[in-house]
Amino acid sequence: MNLDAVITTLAISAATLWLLRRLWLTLQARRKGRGCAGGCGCAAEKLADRR
Amino acid sequence: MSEAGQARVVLVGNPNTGKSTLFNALTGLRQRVGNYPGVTVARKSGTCELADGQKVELVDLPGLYSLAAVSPDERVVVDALLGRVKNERVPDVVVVVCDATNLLRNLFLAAQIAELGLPMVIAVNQMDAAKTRGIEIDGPLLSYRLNGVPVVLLSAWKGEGITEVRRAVATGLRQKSTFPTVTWPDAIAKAVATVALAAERDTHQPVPGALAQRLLFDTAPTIAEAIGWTAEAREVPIRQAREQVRSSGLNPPAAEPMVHYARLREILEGVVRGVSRETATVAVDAILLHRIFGPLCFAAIMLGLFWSVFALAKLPMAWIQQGVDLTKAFAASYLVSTPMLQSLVADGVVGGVGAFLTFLPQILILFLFVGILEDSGYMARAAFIMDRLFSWCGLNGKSFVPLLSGFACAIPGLLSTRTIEDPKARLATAFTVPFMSCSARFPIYALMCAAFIGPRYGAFWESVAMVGMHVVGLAVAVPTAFILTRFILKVRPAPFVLELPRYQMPKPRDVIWRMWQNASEFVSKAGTLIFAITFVVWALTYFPRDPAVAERVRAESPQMNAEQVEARVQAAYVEQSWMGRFGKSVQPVFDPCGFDWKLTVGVLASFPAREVIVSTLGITYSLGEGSDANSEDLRSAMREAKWTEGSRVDTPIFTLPTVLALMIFFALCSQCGSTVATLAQEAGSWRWAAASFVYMTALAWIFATAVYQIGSKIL
Ligand SMILES: Nc1nc2c(ncn2[C@@H]2O[C@H](COP(=O)(O)OP(=O)(O)O)[C@@H](O)[C@H]2O)c(=O)[nH]1
Ligand SMILES: [Mg+2]
Repeated sequence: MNLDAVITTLAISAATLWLLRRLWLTLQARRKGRGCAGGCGCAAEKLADRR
Repeated sequence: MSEAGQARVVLVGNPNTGKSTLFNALTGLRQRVGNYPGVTVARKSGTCELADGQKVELVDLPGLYSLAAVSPDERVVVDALLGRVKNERVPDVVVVVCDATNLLRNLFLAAQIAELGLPMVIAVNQMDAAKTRGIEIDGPLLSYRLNGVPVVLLSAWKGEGITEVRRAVATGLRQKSTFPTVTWPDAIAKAVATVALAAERDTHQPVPGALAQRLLFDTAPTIAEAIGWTAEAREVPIRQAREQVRSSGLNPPAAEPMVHYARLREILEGVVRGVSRETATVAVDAILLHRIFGPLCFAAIMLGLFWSVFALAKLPMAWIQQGVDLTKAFAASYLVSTPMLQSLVADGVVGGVGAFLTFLPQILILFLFVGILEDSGYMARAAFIMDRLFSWCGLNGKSFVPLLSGFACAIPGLLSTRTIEDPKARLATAFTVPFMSCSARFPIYALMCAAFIGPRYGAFWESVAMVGMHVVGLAVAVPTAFILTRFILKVRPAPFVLELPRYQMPKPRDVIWRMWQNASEFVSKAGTLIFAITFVVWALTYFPRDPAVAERVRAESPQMNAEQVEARVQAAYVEQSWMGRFGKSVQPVFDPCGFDWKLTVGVLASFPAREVIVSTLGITYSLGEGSDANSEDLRSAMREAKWTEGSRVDTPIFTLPTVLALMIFFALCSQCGSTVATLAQEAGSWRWAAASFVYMTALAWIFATAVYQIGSKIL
């Protein structure tokens, strides 16, 4: 394998894992009935809680 | 949040009195404030330093008019006051935030809370508004009449009187002075004692008079459930007690306000001077809420709004486009030695995220205007006009705030259904909220407008299309609500209670903060979800790369120049990629809507979040063009796209029927993972979320097909 393919594969796997983790967190947060589901309102919620 | 030994101070008051504004001023946090009731629906706590240096836990709560709590957000307040929240005692001091322009009604709640015997501080807010209306309030006199309960006159928004609040709360914590309780007529006092006795007997716990009053006066079972007094056990004693009250000539539900108001009028004698002058509001509302002029004004305002958004955003959008193109060219030239990575960065990440980010200026300007309309008090009126429509079709009078919030984003809209008492009406409202056109739909609408409608029909029709898309959501939500409330959930119509906020000059700080919040939401989405998805979409559209494909294309087109051949090779690669094959195999499903395979994959990739469509189109068009051929922007690439097979071969894909069908599809489809999850949470089951998903998706397909088919026939 050349460098090109290695870096590309790594980048794509990282992105895929991140998306899966996020999906998991969304389901988790919702099941416990709290937290934002990573959609709209999430960033705003974080901003609101910051001084 | 709360540390051991820290005192707890809660903010309570009628809706829209400025509790959250005061909370923010005292804690330095930035909770959402808004010029309409129902913005705060859950408790929120922060730390606040008092005048004596003591740190306390400050809790912001939803607004309520009376302790007769029925809706979920009101119960949050009652639970906090009774110390029924897990791991929490009762508050050490209750700060009752009042609106100076309506002190009497605001103090009714204070009088009810007084019965609980909690130390209190009265914060009379919005003194600036009272002054301009010619109202004067004598704070010291009020404090004297209230047995020394600290009274602060302030203007939370202007930051005037905040120090005094810090001092008054410290005093309140030290003195523990309570608002004097009312002297009840004998019949009521006896009835309350009867109820208390019966409740103590059945539940084996002390039931204070304040709780017994609630049991006697309220129709909602909030308190009975809280103390665990069953419906069978309480039915007879409560009925008998109410009979006692009635036989003395008082009407139980009306007795409480009657007694409180009579005393409060005495207390306020000489405290409040001057009469409220509100003629301007009345005159303006006569037009803006008029049956015919009201909706016309609303439509005109919306048209003007979208028109200005498009006009003002043109230049900054072009700059961002240039920036994206430069980044793309730079990345491409920097990564020539690694062609795969080059394509990933230039076509995938920059192409995908860039296509999305171009709409930032429009989002900023849109929320600037929305913020101005909201803060001025107009938005609540617009919602009021809409709400007439909805209450006609059976939705609750309180549905208006959820539907209004839904226009920015469905999530806060779903959360604010907590203000609705009747669980069935809540459910019906929650089901209709996702039909409101949220800002995530904006990029695809704007892309279609900028690429097709604007260039061909001009700015006016662009704005008409935008307003139209917002109306489509409403037009579908109304019959949906009608069917749900009448036939499926059988919701009882609720009395229409709505207090319109007063008009005010929009406050630059609040407006800009709201704009900033939404912009950072947009950018953070670009940097997280959209960013990650572009990698995956790119990979699926890039691979597999079989050299045989390139050879075949080269052999098929010998007479073309190198650049043309290269473009065809790239197009062929994309068509036989995983995404291409998948898209083509699913495309027949969306063929009746006039979508080609690229739109099909765009639609499918957008189910987690609808904005993804823009980046997906960005990637598929960017990849299909050949890597470093001086690529045009997405809009012109789409304008030139043609069908490559089937009966429409070589005709443009994006005709007016297709464009409208795509917009309608996005207006109606349930493409937002967070909304589905939140709906499941608020409805308490995945069944409703699934029903909403299926219903919206089916409707979207049906409407898109109808528009495309009818449109193609007549155009
Ligand atoms: N004129 C005036 N308006 C205020 C003041 N405090 C808050 N407001 C406005 O009242 C509205 C409601 O405020 P908010 O804090 O959301 O009220 P809440 O519902 O009680 O939390 C917002 O438009 C505020 O800008 C004040 O001291 N003076
Ligand atoms: Mg609030």
